[in-house]
Amino acid sequence: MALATAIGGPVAVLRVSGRDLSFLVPLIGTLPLPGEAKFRRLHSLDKHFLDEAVVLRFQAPHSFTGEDVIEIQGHGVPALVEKIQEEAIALGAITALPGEFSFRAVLNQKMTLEEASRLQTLFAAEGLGASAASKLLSFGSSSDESVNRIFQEALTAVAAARGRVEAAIDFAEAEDEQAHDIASAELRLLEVERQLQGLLNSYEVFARNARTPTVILFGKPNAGKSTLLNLLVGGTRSLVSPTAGTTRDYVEVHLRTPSGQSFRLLDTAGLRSSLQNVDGIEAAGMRLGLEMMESADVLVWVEDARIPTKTFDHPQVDALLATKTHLKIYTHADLLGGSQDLGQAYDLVGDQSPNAARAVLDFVDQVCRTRRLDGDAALEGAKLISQRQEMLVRDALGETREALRCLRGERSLEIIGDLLRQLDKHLRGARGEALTDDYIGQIFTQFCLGK
Amino acid sequence: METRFDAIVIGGGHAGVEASRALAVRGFKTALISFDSQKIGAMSCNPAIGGVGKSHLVYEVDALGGLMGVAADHAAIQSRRLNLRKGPAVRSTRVQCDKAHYTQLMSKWVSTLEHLYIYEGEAAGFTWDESSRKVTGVRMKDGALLECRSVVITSGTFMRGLMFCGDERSVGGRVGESAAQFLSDSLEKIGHKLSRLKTGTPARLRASSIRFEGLARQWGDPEKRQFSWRPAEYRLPQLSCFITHTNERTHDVIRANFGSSPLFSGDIVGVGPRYCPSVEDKVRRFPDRERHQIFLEPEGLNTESIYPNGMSTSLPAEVQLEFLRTINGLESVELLRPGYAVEYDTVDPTDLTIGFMSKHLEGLFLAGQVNRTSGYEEAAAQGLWAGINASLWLENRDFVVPDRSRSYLETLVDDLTSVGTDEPYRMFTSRSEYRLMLREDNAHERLYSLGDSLGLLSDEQKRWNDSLQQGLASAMEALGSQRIRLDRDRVISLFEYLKRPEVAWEDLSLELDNRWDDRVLEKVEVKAKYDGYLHKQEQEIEQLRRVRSWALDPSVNVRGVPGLTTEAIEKFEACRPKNVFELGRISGMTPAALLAIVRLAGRGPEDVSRETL
Ligand SMILES: Cc1cc2nc3c(=O)[nH]c(=O)nc-3n(C[C@H](O)[C@H](O)[C@H](O)COP(=O)(O)OP(=O)(O)OC[C@H]3O[C@@H](n4cnc5c(N)ncnc54)[C@H](O)[C@@H]3O)c2cc1C
Repeated sequence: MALATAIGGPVAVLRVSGRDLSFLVPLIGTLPLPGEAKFRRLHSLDKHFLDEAVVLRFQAPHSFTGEDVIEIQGHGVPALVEKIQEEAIALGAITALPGEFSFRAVLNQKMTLEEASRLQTLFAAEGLGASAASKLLSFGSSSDESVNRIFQEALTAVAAARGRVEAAIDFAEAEDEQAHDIASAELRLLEVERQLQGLLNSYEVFARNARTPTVILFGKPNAGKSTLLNLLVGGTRSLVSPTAGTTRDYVEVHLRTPSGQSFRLLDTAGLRSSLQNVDGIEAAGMRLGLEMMESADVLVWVEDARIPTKTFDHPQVDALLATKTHLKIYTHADLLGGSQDLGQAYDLVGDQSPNAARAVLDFVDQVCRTRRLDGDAALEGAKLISQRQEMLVRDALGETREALRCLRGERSLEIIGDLLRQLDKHLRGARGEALTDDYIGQIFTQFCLGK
Repeated sequence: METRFDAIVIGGGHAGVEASRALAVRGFKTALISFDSQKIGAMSCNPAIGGVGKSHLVYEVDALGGLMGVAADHAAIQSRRLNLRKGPAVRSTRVQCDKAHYTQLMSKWVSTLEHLYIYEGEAAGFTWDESSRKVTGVRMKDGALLECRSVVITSGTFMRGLMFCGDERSVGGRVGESAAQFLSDSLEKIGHKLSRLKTGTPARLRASSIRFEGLARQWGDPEKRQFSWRPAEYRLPQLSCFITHTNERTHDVIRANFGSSPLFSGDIVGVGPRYCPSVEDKVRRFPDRERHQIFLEPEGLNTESIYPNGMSTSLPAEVQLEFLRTINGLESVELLRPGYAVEYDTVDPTDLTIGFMSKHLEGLFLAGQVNRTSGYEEAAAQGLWAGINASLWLENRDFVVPDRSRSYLETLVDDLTSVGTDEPYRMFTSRSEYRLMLREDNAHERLYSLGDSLGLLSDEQKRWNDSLQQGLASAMEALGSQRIRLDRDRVISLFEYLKRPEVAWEDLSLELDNRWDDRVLEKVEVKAKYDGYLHKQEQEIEQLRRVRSWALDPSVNVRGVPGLTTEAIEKFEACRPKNVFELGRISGMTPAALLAIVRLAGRGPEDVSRETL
């Protein structure tokens, strides 16, 4: 059983999947016929009325999991939803583990592991535009064909190279000297290396585009970062989810610009100090802040207009600023007395304060548009689009490189043979072939099956 | 004459010898039935023991106390190490033997084993109790009945053996010997489906009719390498082999006679080994090749017989003579006997449990060529495995679970019983995913605890092993701490130094001052050379062991598990696997079904003891 909607919406959708769902009868009354939606009054075990709901029934194998599925659409009152779940559990339902519905769908051959893995990609890729998301969902698209061809070619090349290497080992006495010629193996592996690198590059592009762009606020203490952050959060109604920072060094919120571009906004407390008096903890905070700034898509430098500076007074940050697009927001314009012309200077407390927020949002929109971070571009040129494949291809590339190193160096053949065996296994895995033992281990972690 | 035994082994070939020894050494009263007690451990085909992958099996058999290695050491008339330019894991020993001497030694050693009784004659079948489905004894062709609780069949190429030479065919498992005509019936009666495989052997040539002058000569290595931990008591004179080649004329003769080959006429239905093709096969499949290599190998010190390796054939005898005489050095060769092919019955090894016990009859074990393998070493390894497990069965204990990361022997067992084979199975190093770990040099380390826990090892072997391990430990310590100066700035340990491809342990003799045995130093070097790679493999093995040792609740009801076929459900219920490893071995078990069952019945990792017996 799993809740399919976020808590807090007007409607809550609860799904229960299983072989025989008649145990739910006390809660929902008789089961609707397959494919039917029925209006039902939900009751607790002790016959108390709980909620009114629409109940749908999907019959195996025509459901997402391939099992019978009952869907209960009730009112999204958190306490009520919780109560209904409790009742279902009392009747024998169990709470689904993360990914369990997909897992069952894989077990029941409703989808392949690769498809399940793409779904995970999809759920993780909040920055994905709508058309890219649809494409990701249309399994078996043309990009798959070209990727499969690459895997097939690589596998053929690896098989040929392996054949040579293994023959040279196991038929040491064989007369057929051609079998001992492993020079051609190197050429083939070079080609494999090139192809795999190409796949990984395309994945990197995809991954960059599919994730939500990051915007970082930084500046000296009291420059007005927190105020600006609050303005942004308050000014945009479509707050996705306020997430508390994973460390105390920064605050993270998920926002959307008025044009619909979603982004992560980070306030890095860690970057407040300049070079002077940096102690241990501060230094660690700085490092984290710097790393985040390096990978950020948009930087917003918040500075007190009364004490404007040209540089940030920190060599690494200054180096970053020299290369990265950033927006400078001057604050405390109200206290300035209007004498200097600082361009984008704002008053963060008065009537004009929304302008500062708008300036930031416009800037985010503009950067995302020019850099095509709009998510719909994500699939352009992308070949690998699941993390599962990416991991396997990365392994395969590592093995190809190591095998090439060994072929050129003085490493002996049996080591090369072993590397090629691994390489073959990883390529097959990436192509979505039968699960091997390794895979089983991987699934155990992916689907959280531990008891 | 004794007629009651704990166990009876049928067939005194390479498998039968090791099976009987394991049973007898473990204290079971065992009978070894064979057509001819003077031909125990006879080499039916080529005169060599070992070779790439196969030598590893010989070392493993020796590590478990077996006889093959020590017999080959004593009978060796040429010994070579193959793959010396490749890494230590795939270096392999190949020893040519005086065939007659080898067989004499085996016959003698086996006949002196305590608890073992040799019984000459033909086993015509086995008997069983229909209600308990357990084996009860063996019926001899002359009508005698022998009682026992366990039978091991190691009948090699003899079950309904049929020999082909041109259009002549004769009943027999090996030239000059009869076939086992009736054993197959018993197997079929209990439900085994038998299928035919074939193998072939070349003609034997008279040495005095060969012109050796002008042929390339091949000597063995000056330093002879031993298979066994036991030092050989003597060394026979060493002989050389010669190399010659076929030519276009040879191929023309063969081609002109394709029509009289039982292989091509369809008379032979059995599948032969792809890696051991007959010469007519080679000519047909590789029409562009101008020549094929032939090794002329002496079959012993006191025999005129020469084995022309690479010339296996079942063409008519007169054709054999004709094409052989086109070959350089063989212009006036005489045949001692012509080559032939033999076709014989085999069982499907997936019908056997991991202990090589028949899934159709309790107490019945099969090993060797009957299990669809080929080769002496493969046979010996299986015989040992069947002997061990038959003895465990007699004690009501579980079979040894084959661990692929421990030995080629167990890799073979696992391959045969889980996947099976359509052609005669031969060992290759590439069959193991743990090749770097499974080496000649560490066979004793790998299998010591298994052999010891089963009581297969003599005190002498244990002492030898202990001192080797102590030597290894002290050498590892010394090489780890002793330093060597490379240049002004760099000082590294000797162990680090040994990691370099160009450095061998022999180069350190000055530093090491003869403190350790060569065998020890060789091991240290291997450890150094493979250091990083071995570590990675060990981690993988650990991970796999963890997943496989997940315990399952055997009483769980799997009906209703998504994705399970009826067949898989029935198999599950029949064998009630105790852990993921056993579960994975159920045939027809898809990975998805496996996962589903683990979810349902998994109890989490349980440290099943390594040496699960
Ligand atoms: C013609 C020929 C060609 C071969 N060519 C090759 C080759 O090219 N490459 C290769 O690797 N291997 C080859 N071999 C195979 C090699 O000989 C076997 O793999 C190996 O000997 C098998 O050992 P084993 O113990 O299973 O059986 P075997 O060595 O065949 O021993 C079987 C023993 O059982 C006895 N026996 C059988 N049935 C009965 C019975 N009912 N009652 C009493 N005694 C019985 C026989 O007398 C024999 O002593 C060849 C064998 C033959 C005969």
